[in-house]
Amino acid sequence: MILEVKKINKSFSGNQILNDVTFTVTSGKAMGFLGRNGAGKTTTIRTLMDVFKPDSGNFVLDGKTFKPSDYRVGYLPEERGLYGKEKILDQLIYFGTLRGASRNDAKTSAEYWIERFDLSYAKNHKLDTLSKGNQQKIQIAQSLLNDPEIIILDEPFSGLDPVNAQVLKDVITELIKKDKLVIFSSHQMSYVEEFCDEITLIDKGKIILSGELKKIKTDLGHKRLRLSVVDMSQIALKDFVDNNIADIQTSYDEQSLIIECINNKTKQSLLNDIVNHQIDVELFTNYEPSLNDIFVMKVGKENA
Amino acid sequence: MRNIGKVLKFELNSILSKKSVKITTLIMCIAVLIATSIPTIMTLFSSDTSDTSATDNIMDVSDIGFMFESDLITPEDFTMYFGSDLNIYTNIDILREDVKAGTINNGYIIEDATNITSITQNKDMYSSTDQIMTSILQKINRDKALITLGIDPNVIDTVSNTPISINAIVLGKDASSSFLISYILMLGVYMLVIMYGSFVSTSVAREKDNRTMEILITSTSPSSLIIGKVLANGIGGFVQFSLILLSGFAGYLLNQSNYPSEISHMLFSGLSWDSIVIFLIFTAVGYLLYLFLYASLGSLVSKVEDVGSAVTPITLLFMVGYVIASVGINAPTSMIVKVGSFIPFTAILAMPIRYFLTSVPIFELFISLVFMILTSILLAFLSTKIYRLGSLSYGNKISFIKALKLIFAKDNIDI
Repeated sequence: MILEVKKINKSFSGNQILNDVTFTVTSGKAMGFLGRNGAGKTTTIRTLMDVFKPDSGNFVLDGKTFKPSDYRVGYLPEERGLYGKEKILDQLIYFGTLRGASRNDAKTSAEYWIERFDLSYAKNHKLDTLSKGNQQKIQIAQSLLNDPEIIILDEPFSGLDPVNAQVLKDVITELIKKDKLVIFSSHQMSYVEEFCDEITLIDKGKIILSGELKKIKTDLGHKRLRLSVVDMSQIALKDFVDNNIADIQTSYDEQSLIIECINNKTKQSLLNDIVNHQIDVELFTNYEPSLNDIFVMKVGKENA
Repeated sequence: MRNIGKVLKFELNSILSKKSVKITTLIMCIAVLIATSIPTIMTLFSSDTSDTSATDNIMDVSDIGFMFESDLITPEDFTMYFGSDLNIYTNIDILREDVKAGTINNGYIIEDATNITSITQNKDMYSSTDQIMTSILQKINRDKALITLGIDPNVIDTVSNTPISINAIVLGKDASSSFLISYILMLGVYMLVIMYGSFVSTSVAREKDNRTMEILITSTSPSSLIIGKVLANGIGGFVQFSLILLSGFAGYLLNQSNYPSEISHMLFSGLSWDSIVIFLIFTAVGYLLYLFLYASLGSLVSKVEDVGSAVTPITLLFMVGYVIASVGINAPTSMIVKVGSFIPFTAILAMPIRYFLTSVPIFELFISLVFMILTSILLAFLSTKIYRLGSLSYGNKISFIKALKLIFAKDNIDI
């Protein structure tokens, strides 16, 4: 399945919140929808889920106009909310049946996810009796009921401890392997970096970057290289390299020195220089910016 | 719309499994049972004491001290009425002392034919003894005057006390026979609407407050949600109301033998099958109408705390209906009741009251009912629109008028 988000505009009382938002999501690939707070992630997702109508633009799934009610869509809203005073299993079954499952199927599905999130002991408890993190897991379970074809998770990682975040990552990976169409939003780049296949970056209501993460990283790497040396700090190494190797520009981060070849200098000639100077190489590789770097690069440091 | 049943079942379950609902129902049923047993309880208490005590309470001549200051009225004049000897005092201080000590309850100083001084320790709001004393003195004066004129007082008594019997032939309905039952049912409907109305608006507002709404409206249609919710609360209220009415009826049946026949007559003689059917139809439709109205206003607020102030206008509106119906109980043919029985918001109480107490032409019933049904449908439609609109405006409370404007301004809300 391919979901195309096409030129979505939305304003609230004169404030333009979304500005020609356009991107594509493919099933079987994890799509991270990234941006800082207030960038327009939730509004985009809400228009997608038909909570709001966009002012203009449309959503197309496999060539047809997308209507959430025509598909099995799992949705985790940003505004978390379930019935605090109802028993967990009862309300999950209710939501399952509202979306068209039979009572039995809804029950099986609800029990599966409660078990998966390690909350079987609490299935007949009222939701209010659980901790915030565990309530969050029930919220996520709610969005996974009835084996949805499309899963839209708004900030699914917020409020989860590292162990539970890992459980959720595993679940998302599993859904992707089953060729589901998955979109999840986040403002915590490092959390999602390792398992995003594709990313879409939104800032101030505009899409500033969208595509395959690997390719974006290579493109934005500008053929720069990483170099680190045994027993030498980045600063000392930078001094040494700047003084001894020509036609390069250097910078560094916590991990290593970052070298950019200029004036048509090749990677091969740089490597020759390194060997000639008998440097004890610890790491020599293509430089790939982290998601965080990309974010800073694109959105601007002050906004990160 | 296909999910109405599911919403209804879930909401009804949630209402009926609430501890507070179970407990209130139980308490109210017990209260009604006790209330309907009052005649039995009264007989139990009165049979504890001897039969004569009842009359003795009114007037026990041994508890009264008399002092005669005038020759116009003599102790003999009084003895005629009490049939036994009087406690005669000659000294006012001793009389006072005896009243103070409790030896006697009342002291009466008969000053002349028209003046009595009464001495008591503690005076009740209405002293029957005082009344009896004055009427006896009046009678003594009258008899004396009649005798002076040469007329036998007994003849006058017989003539003036000749019983007159009246046979009332009522061609329409007898308001007196339906008065009590109308009052009871009116009070019941009042409680039903006010209580379950606020249940509905709270339950709608709670979904916005706890943010369940976004999941709900992306899972099913707002009309299923609102109609399911309203029906669930409606049924819940009806179940509770019926249980209370049934326990009232059961209480009556159990204690029937101890009810004075006039009360039984007032309760049930006015009831007929057609009046029960009319009552049920108007109550059911009017009740739904109000629930939809409550649901619309509940949709306007985002916090449960705001529900109280948001629904005040409806409560006031319903109070108007209640006042009109109260007028109707006393004057069922008055214009205001007639008008009220056609206005959908007041007809819920006014029309059944009119029907109970007077004769209402079928076409009037029909017109009033059609008005109510149309208004209910309109309100159901509006409440779903407002509910859906509410999802667009988290946080701020919007006024009913503003919501209506928004709904009609842009038709971009799906139901």
